[in-house]
Amino acid sequence: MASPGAVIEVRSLGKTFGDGPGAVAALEDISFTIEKGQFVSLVGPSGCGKSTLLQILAGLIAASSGEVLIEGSRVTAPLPGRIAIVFQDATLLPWKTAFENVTFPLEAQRVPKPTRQAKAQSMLELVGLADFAGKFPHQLSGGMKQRVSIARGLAQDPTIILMDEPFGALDEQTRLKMGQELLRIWDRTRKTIFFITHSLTEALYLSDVVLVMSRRPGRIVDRLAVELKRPRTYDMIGSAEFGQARNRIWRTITAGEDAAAAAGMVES
Amino acid sequence: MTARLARRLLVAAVILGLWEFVRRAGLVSAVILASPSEIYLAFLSSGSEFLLAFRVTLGEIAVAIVIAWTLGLIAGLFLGTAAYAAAVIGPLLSSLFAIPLITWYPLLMIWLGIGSTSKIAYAALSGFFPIVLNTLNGVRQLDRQYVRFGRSIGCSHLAILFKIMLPLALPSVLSGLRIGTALIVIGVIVTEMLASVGGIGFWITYHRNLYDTGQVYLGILLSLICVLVVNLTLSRVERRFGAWRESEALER
Amino acid sequence: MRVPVPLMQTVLGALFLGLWQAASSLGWIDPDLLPPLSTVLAAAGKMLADPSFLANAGDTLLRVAAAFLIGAPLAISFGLFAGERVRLQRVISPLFNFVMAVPQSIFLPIFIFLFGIGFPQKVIYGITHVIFVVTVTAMAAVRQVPRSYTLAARSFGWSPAEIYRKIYLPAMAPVIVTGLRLGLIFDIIGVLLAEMYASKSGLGVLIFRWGEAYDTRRTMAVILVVSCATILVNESMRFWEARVGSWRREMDRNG
Repeated sequence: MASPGAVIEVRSLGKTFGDGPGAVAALEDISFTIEKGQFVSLVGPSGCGKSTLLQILAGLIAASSGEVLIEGSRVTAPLPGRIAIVFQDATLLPWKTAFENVTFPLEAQRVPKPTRQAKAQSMLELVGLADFAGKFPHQLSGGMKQRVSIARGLAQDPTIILMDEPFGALDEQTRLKMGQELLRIWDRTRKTIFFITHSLTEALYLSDVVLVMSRRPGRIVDRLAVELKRPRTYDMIGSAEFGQARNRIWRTITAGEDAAAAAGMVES
Repeated sequence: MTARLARRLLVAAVILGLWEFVRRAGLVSAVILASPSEIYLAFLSSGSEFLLAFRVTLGEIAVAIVIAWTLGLIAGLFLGTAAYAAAVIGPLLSSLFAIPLITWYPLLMIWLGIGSTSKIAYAALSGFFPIVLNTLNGVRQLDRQYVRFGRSIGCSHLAILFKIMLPLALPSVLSGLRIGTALIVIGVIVTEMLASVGGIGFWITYHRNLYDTGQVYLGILLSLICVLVVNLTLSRVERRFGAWRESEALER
Repeated sequence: MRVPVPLMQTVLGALFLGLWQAASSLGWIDPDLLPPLSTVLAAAGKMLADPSFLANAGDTLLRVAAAFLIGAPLAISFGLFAGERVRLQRVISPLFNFVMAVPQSIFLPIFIFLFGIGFPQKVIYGITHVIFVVTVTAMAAVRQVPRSYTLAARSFGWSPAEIYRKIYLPAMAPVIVTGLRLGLIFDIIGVLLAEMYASKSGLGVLIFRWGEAYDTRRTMAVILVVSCATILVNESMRFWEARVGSWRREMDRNG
């Protein structure tokens, strides 16, 4: 039943932590697909389970029910070299240079030295940090660290890159610039990207498809195909279509909040 | 020669000069203080015996270091990664840390005699606590994100431990090693002072009983030098490997 | 299902004591080397009722208390005073850091040369243990008061005394109490060491003499009493520390 272009298929995914009366349902009946080369975003309120979902996709934790398929086969454990993750805090190893950070996963995957060094060099060039290859993370700005993290992910030549609110820790201006940078890089490499954010603007600006997640227990409550043409530009953000899409998502989210409040399920 | 170094040497020279003067002028009696020249004379007259005592002490320190470092690091790394064990044992260890360990030495004396073994056991025990506690804390305070990263790129458990967690925890670990080693040096010398047949501590006590101030101060000076050497070397190592940690802290 | 931590700790403690008792009373280990727990406890009990033991304990307590009660207020006052004056700190800090890097045990013979082996020497030795740690922490306590408190305080229009009492003191209290705890611990260690090395009375003397006489039972009994007492002191001060610093943890939690 797998669709031909699908890279990732999520079927009826559920995740509950703990058991008995104290059990917490983090995710409930999540299903979606990601096509090859697509840029898919996931938006939702804080604490709705977005990170949990990402960790299950990455094979870091197991689902309680349902399954995740990558190119047809089930994900049960981390798949180094096929699934790469970019974390919110860049998570660069502070005692290694930018260059060494990018080669590090390749070392772990036993890629021969000349290959991995060439790959690291070209990825750093791609993200525009070739001149900073020898710098240490504490010498780089937040945006630069994220770019190294992205280069590190790309260097593994993965089937899909999972990004967990990668620009969350940056200020607004850097965030916008990084978004554009990411689109440029995505355009060049056409990698499949799954991007988690809580910024509706960012999600719409960057993606082909936006998935909207509800409050805990997280469910996919909307799926929006973004009609804006590529390449995306800043003035699109002010356009009527953009505003409509944004409002649609916003209404979905707030409707969920109101319903939850009415049912007395909102946490303090 | 930098200005700072010159200033420090000047201060040291002034202190030495005053020290010498205070004795020469008879302001302080010979029974209380030994001047630098008296210490030097004591050194010359003691000759090989003093150096022999020094060798004994150094030997004990070395063995204690090997024991404390190995056990402390292994225990700290293990506890750091085993959350439940750490939650159970960690608080017990840090409560035990408050006990005056020196009061346990007479017990060690009964069990192991007054030779080198009891000294080594005591010193290793003193050094063990700070090493375990600092290593444990260093590993526990790591951002779990790094572990997830390691797993996502395909590192084995051991690889994650040694290639990611240990380097990240290194500043804390080194700090623990520095404190622990200083305690080892002092532990050996103090227990030698209490009851021994050799070593610098014994030298100090023996000559104190003879009121030979020159030799006593010589012994104390050497002990000080040992502690300072340990502190300086390990601080240097700490700074070299922890440089990124300080820059990060400054950033915030 | 994980066993709750405090329960597990109690179980481990009980296991350890049980093993000790068994090993010794069943002869797995030579009872001369390791007397059974019961014997040691009995000896401790007898000691606590014995007037000469209590006299020695009293001496030790007196020395520790005197050193602390003299040293701590001095150290706090000086530390608070110096904490405000940056220039003074710049001169003193390197000196203090240097002293703190060197464990003071090594200077004991010098104290004996200077002051003999009686009560004053022990107290002075104890004072030096208290003073450095408490001064350094007091200075640090002043430095770590967040600037925003100072600014807020001034904007309230309070008198300097009120500002000090209502804002600075509570802000500095946790750090100062930590320093006092450490100072007291170092004080106890110092006094006991001095007693073990050269003294006519005190718990340290008892431990050392019985150790030299291979009286395992009594040695262990005193060690046990002293260890329990110190742990009690440490935990009580930690409790005080926690109470004084509780507002701060609340703050951290709520961001």
